[in-house]
Amino acid sequence: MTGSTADLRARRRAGLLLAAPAALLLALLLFLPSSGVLVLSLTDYRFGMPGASWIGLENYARMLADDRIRQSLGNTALYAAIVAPVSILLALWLAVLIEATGRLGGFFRTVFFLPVTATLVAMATAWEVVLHPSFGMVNVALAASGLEKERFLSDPSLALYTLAFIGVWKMVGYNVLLFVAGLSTIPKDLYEAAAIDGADRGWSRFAMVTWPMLAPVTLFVTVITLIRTVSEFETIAVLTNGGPNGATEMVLYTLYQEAFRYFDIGLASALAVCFLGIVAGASILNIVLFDRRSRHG
Amino acid sequence: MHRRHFTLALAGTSALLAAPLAAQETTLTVYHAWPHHAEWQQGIADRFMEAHPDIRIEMQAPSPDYDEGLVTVIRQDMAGNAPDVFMVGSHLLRELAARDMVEPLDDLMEGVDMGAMGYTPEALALTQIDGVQYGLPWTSSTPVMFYNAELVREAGGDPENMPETWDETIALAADIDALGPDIMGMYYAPGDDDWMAQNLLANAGLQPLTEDGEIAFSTEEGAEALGLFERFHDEGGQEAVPNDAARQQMYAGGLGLYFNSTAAVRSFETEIDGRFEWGTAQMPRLVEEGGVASGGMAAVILADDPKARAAAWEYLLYGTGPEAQTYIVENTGYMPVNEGALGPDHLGPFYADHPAWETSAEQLSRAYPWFAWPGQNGVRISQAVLDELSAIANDQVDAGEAASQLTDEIEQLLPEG
Repeated sequence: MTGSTADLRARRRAGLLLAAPAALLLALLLFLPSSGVLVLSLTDYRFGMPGASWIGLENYARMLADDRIRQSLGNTALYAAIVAPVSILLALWLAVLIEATGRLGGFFRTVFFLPVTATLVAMATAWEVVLHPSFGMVNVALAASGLEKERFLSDPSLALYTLAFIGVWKMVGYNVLLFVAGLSTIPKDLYEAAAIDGADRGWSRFAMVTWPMLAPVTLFVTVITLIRTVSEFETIAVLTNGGPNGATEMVLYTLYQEAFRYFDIGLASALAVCFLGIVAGASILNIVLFDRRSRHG
Repeated sequence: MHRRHFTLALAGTSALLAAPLAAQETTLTVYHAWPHHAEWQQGIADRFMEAHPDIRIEMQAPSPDYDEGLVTVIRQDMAGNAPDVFMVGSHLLRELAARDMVEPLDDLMEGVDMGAMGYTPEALALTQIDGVQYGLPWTSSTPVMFYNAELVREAGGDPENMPETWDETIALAADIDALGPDIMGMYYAPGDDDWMAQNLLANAGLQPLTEDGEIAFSTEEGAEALGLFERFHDEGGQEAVPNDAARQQMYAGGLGLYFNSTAAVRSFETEIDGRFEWGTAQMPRLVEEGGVASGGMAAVILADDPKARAAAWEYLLYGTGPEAQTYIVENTGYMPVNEGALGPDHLGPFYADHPAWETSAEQLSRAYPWFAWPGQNGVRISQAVLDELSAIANDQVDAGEAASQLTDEIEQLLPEG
């Protein structure tokens, strides 16, 4: 009896010892700077200036009253509301198709995964050429088929949707890969059992077996995609700089502008705290839901 | 045998002699913006080191633009390793002074006759804050009108006598625009900050803040100047496309008039490469006494150590001197900041061969310095102006509305009192 208690204690100690370095690093590199940001968000600190004073929650009040930031939050929400569902459903559809193609599966997997591996900044430059208002391939094609040319990146009513399209293009490959991985874990005998019960093809097969079995993967993909869409930055920085007239400003880009162009660290920190809250909320939701599923399923 | 010993001894002695020389050498780190300037910035450093063997110049990798350069220098300063010499966008000079990163040049300029060295009071004013000299202008430019001479002629204009008022210019642009569906009449670049908007105000004889502290956009003349940008689109055929797209269209021969900094002249020469005839003309005016905006970078000394400061001062004087300025002009399209560079020994023959490059220098007498907004929100105001230009271009507001919106917005961003 006593032997096994001592054993348990030793194992606990070893576990603690092994987890400690990572926990320490996490505290040093993540929690410490984050709490620094929290502190800064309560001051009027300006980048590089010698001092700062406490102003309480004023930055948060300014943030909520600022039209620019409200527009930026709205754009982010709209962008996420388009990109997340489209890239998830499209990826699911493609993954099921790819799984069914058999020998060509590897080829299609590579094709759809390519955008993920390419450097986004270089790709964004390629998009700039493709979407050029007068010589771009898309506009040449539009003109050839008798349609009006469009200013995809400089028309305020179009620019955000153009970025959303590029966002889907970029996001879909990664999601396909996750779904393909999920599909490969579904046991074959489930399909056989379903076939015996009459669900042997098409929609019924998908609805009875594939979809329920993919639920955990789908949940994971949804959370990851949501986090990645609300953190969109590169395409804005390379293609539009948040313009025209703020039409493509999104949270992370606004945050960057506030901190490193306007030097308003206080306001930027307040924005960062809110952003952190949203992302942390999504992650916690993910863990809670996952936990519940694995306990019941 | 003997000879070898002798050689060795000689080598040893010369090494000993060289050592104290090397120890005396001063090394300066220099930081500037714009990667495409790296070549000529290095060129100046090389020429300087040749003339001053005791000073070594180390170039840091350039920043992508003025804003990021400033961010980097502030960060380096906080870490205690700021460069010794920094080329700051002259509209951002105040940001350095507000952070006590840069000292006035009074100690170094004492007893030096700057006028005799070719620096005009106007040139020196470009890098002063409230009359105090914080740096020397390293490059300088004004916006000019670029034109496609063939399109101008086709539309009934005369490239030798380009219009001098905005009314005539817009009318010419409209005629060019009517030449065909693929031809754009004009493009007035909105720029990356409020510089080009400042130019419109200057064309109307205004500074962004008038002498009695009024915001120019709130005045009737200021609103009219801003209204020009609307007329460019409504009457002159300008389309709301990004600057790069307009530049490409110019190179392809499909744009009549293009307005931007003279610094673009060099890429025009390489890109158009004689495929069609083009030239530059002075910036049109809205009123008789209309000026132009001017801008550029200021060279400032961030080093505190007196020896490094003295060496850096030598570098500033060299870089802004006639020889280096001639080299800069020929490599960029900027205009010289030193009068000495204009003579027949320097830029005279070059300008005779390249008349398009001289326009900017010709309108120097009516140039306004790059206006810096007082207080902490200069960059934010710049962005507000830029956004309002974009809203006008995209028909989201009309110019009158834009002028009153801007006035309200700027009022809130200016320091109180």
